[in-house]
Amino acid sequence: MTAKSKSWFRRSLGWSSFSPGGLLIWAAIIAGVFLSCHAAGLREYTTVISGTWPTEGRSSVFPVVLAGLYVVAYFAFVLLVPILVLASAVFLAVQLALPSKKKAPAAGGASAR
Amino acid sequence: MSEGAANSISRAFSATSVPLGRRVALAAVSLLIATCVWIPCVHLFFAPHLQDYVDTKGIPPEARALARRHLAFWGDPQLHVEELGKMRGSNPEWDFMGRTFLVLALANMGLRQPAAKEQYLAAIDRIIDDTLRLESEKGISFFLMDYLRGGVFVSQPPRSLFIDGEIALMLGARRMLAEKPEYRQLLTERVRLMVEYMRRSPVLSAESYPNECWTFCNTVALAAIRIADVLDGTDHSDFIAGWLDVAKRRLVDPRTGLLVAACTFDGSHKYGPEGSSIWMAAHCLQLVDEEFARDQYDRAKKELGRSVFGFGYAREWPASWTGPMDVDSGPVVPILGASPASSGLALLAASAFEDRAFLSRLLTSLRFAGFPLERNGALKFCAGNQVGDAVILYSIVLGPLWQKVREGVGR
Repeated sequence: MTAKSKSWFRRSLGWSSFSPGGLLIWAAIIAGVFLSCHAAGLREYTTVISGTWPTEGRSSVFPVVLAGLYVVAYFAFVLLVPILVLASAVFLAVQLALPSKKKAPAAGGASAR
Repeated sequence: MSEGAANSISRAFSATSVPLGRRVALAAVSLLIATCVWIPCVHLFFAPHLQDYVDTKGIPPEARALARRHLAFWGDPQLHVEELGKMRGSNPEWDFMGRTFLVLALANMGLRQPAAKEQYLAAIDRIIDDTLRLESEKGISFFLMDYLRGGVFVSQPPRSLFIDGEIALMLGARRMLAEKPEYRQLLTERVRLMVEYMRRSPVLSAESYPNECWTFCNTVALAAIRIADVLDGTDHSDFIAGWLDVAKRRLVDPRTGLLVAACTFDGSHKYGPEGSSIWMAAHCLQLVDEEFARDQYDRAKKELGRSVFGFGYAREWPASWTGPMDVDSGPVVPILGASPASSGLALLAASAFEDRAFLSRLLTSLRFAGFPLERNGALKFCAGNQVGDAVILYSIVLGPLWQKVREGVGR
């Protein structure tokens, strides 16, 4: 990661979370976490929801943790990601529609902090 | 796009020109609007193409995919032991019920697709023979939960109608698909024992566990008896009429009109109406009293069936009665009261009673929260297990077997 992208990433997670771009960043992060969980095959572990262990024996809580991680990531992906994307669009539309009262700073918006 | 417009959009994206307080307020309002738009729409992305699940004559594609996995592990002893071993660790009943629902599903598939009948018969026979062998070698406790040992059966020598009823149903379903002389005597003897044990109780209900007579098991037994009558020309209509009469008088919950889930040997209500019992009970009653079956389904749907934002589910208990969350109900979702077991069996009942609207909403929920996984053409729902998948499979292929019994064309 370059210094420039690091700075952009930090800004996105910080004050700029309350911006259309920031909301999209959060959507991308959640999607990334879910897709990683899915690619790692954690969906199989959700069988613990039915009280069935993915392997014989119930000595380990490991499957419960993995299933919990997958379930949270899945519902975040299915419910939160579209909401964040839609919210970003609404936020952007409102910003473009409303007249700006303050002239934008010249360099990267750092002064808005 | 002009440079000015691009800059304007870029600034709007980062919202750098907006004071923090206003940005927070705008973000909150935007999130609220987005939530109000998205949540009512989510179900649209999970709604099933009903033709993938419902086919009045052939076998729907999703059923083929579900069956492929079951047939694969019943054809591979190693895989079979592994798969069933996972469930037995939680509940040996699931192993047994998974067999029953799979046999019922395969029998229906054989009736729907006569060209593949031999393949289904071979699988059915493997399941039945394995079940009979295990029952014979290890006794009834092999398929029952441990609390069996905590009491003594009122009827002696001990028999469980849970075991007898479902084995009889498997034998009957197999013979409805194609006669097998070796199974004829087995079914006749099983029916004789069931009727004998049921008659001993003042409410004509036999025990599945010590002093626990489950409506699920007794209605399964009635369905099996009815099938045996069709197959072998016997007549238990008086007995069945007697059961229905006593059930309507003594086994119905006065607040909901639903059959209670379980009673004691003498007919005292032990557990009130439960979703994990009533849906299957209503389905089985279709073979012995269509009107009563429909009444129970309608009441169960009113008391237990729910829909939220296009997603259907079923509660385990009606609002007027709450039981303990247990292995039958599965983990009940707080606030909604949604029970995976009740919802899965509601799928079966909705299909059996041709309630397409409720079926579609239940399937939507299944696709949303059941975590379907298709691999090499074989489908499973990860959030469930083998018995759950067998119930779903049966739900989407049922019909021809019950129809054949109703028409009395067993022989």
